[in-house]
Amino acid sequence: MNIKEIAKKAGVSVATVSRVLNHPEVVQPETREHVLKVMKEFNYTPNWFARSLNLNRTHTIALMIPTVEKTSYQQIVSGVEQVAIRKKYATLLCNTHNDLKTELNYLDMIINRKIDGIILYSSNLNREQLDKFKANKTPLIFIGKNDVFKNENSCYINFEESAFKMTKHLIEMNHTNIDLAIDESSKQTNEYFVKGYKDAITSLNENMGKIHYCESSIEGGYLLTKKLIHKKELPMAIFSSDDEIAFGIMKAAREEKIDIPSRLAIAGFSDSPMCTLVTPELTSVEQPSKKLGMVAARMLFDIIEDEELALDTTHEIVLQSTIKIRQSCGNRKRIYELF
Amino acid sequence: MTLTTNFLGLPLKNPILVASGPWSRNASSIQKSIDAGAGAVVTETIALETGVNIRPRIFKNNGSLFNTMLYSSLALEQWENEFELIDKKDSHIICSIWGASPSEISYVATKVERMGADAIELSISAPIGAKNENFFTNPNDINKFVNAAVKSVNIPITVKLSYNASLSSSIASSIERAGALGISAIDSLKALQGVDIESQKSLMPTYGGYTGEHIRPISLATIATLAQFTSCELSGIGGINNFKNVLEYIMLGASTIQIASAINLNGYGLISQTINQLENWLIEHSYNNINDIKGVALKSLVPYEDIPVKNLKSRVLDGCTDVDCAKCYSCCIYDAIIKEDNKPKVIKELCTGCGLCVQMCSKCFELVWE
Ligand SMILES: Cc1cc2nc3c(=O)[nH]c(=O)nc-3n(C[C@H](O)[C@H](O)[C@H](O)COP(=O)(O)O)c2cc1C
Repeated sequence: MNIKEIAKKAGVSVATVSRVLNHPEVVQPETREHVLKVMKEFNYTPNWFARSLNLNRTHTIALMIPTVEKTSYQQIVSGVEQVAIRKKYATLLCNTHNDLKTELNYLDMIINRKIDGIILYSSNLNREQLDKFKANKTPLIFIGKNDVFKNENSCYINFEESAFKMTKHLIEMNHTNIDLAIDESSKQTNEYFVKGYKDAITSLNENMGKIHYCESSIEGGYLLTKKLIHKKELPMAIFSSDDEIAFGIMKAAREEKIDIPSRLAIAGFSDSPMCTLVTPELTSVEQPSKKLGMVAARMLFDIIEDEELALDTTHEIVLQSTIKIRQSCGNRKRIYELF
Repeated sequence: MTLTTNFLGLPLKNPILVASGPWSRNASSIQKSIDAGAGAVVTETIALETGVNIRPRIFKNNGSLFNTMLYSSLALEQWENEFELIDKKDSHIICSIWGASPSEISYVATKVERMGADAIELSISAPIGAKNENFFTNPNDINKFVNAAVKSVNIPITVKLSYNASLSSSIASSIERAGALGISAIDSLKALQGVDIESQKSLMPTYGGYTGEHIRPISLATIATLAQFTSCELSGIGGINNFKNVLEYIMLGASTIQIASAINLNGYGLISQTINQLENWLIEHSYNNINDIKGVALKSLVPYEDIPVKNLKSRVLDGCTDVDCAKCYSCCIYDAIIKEDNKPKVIKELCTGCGLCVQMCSKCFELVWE
């Protein structure tokens, strides 16, 4: 007997059976009694349910994140928390500062505190460390894409496609000499970023520009641009892997009296609220970060609440980003957004 | 006499469905449609993220509406709660869902299946919000997208199409190949209500979805077209106000129909009224089964190229009494109608039988064989 068969026998949905087990308080009393009766009749208690009863759930999930200082990360936190609170769970925030040691310490803590599940964002674990943690059987979801956790339950935004679309937009705006400025610390995402960029350049028969690595900050973009100007290596367009770098590029360009977009086009990434405050408004890639957090939390609760069902659900959910076309790349149309 | 029919493998007590929209936004509103006797109810579109309700968001123009609503403002978790509260009786719930990638849509599909949806309507071409623009116009993408949903659930799937997407036979066949059993058409049309010429501003802040009475002719043509190039079952949507409109859609090949704007404008009572009147019409016309009239009007449609040119010309009848009415003179761009003795006269050599004068004034003119 499994949860699906019980649902069929009771004439209710699988979700209802699951809720009788997980959140009996929200199920209509008659329905609840009926389902419990059917479960009893068929002598059904799911393994995971018995186990979690024994262990006493802590009703806490952990979210491991490399930094809390950027808007897109904050949005992920908000998305995770929004789903968790509806499930009556608390969210423990673990900021790893992108440091493996901190991450490992947190994992120990999570095991000791019997946290019910964990979401790992941009994890630095290697396969061995991951397997060691997994032996503990705490439900686990990854945010991000990485070879180590290929084939694990994960969700991520398709950066490769985002970079492809933005590069293509720049080419379509008639920019021929496009460089890439990327965050030197995001090793995991850079790979996909560069690939999307290169694929767009190649598929449209353009010349490959240079790839610059810089600090992910206004200062990083500023210094890079100053250097390029003084070495007389300024391209026609720069696509940067985050908005902060793009704002830095804009600052340097303003000081050097370089016109945007006629002499230098700039595209950012992550669509921070500041994009509409600068002049010209910054074209950027909007990432569905909050949705990403919500999806990760939902996948996690699927496992926490219904281990039996989780086995046949999707293991990888890919989200798409939207290009927000504003004026920093030469577009003049008012409503012009690509999906 | 029976109104029962089969749609997507679901045995429906009647072919009157309530379309996706805010009149199906939660348990209590869906319950109203069920209590009014709808054969099935389609939920407002459920997505991984929640929609925001901008204000104002509905604009009216006679019997038609313009709306700027994207999808449900309830999260998946809230929909799970709502589902517990619905008493389906002998009706069915079809969950309308949206997602931006195949993996997203397959996840939402499994979620609503578990909640107890009887079928799924994939919303792939709503015209509101730039996110949907350029969205899946390529039949291969649509095939992948639909197939991702079909593969992940055991309940049947219908795909809701925009007017534009409905006109492509390759899109229809890609949907069919992907394993969807139905096509619902049409979704609202991308539109603007107008411009206030004094303030020189658009009457609406962004593009909206145009629905209601005025889109019915467009949607009827779409259903007739789809009926001819797909074997998917069709659910006709667009400007259905009464039982006559229901009959029109069914006679053009729809298996079921969906009512939207008319419920928003007239309330849920319209559902039971339409069902009663439909039943009466069928009884009066001695039909035992609603399916007996399915597609009957398609036979009267002929390709333009195959219509024989009949030698018809306009003739003046005796009915013309209004000497000052000059409608017929001005509508004849062939100069075939002139005034003689204060009465219209048709110059036969110039008349080309277009028929417009007859439509303008049927008491003054008729078309006759030469
Ligand atoms: C206010 C409003 C909201 C709507 N919301 C949705 C929606 O969430 N999902 C969807 O698939 N269609 C939605 N629609 C479209 C309707 O389901 C239907 O396709 C359209 O209104 C045409 O039918 P009608 O002419 O009878 O209104 C909405 C329509 C209106 C007027």
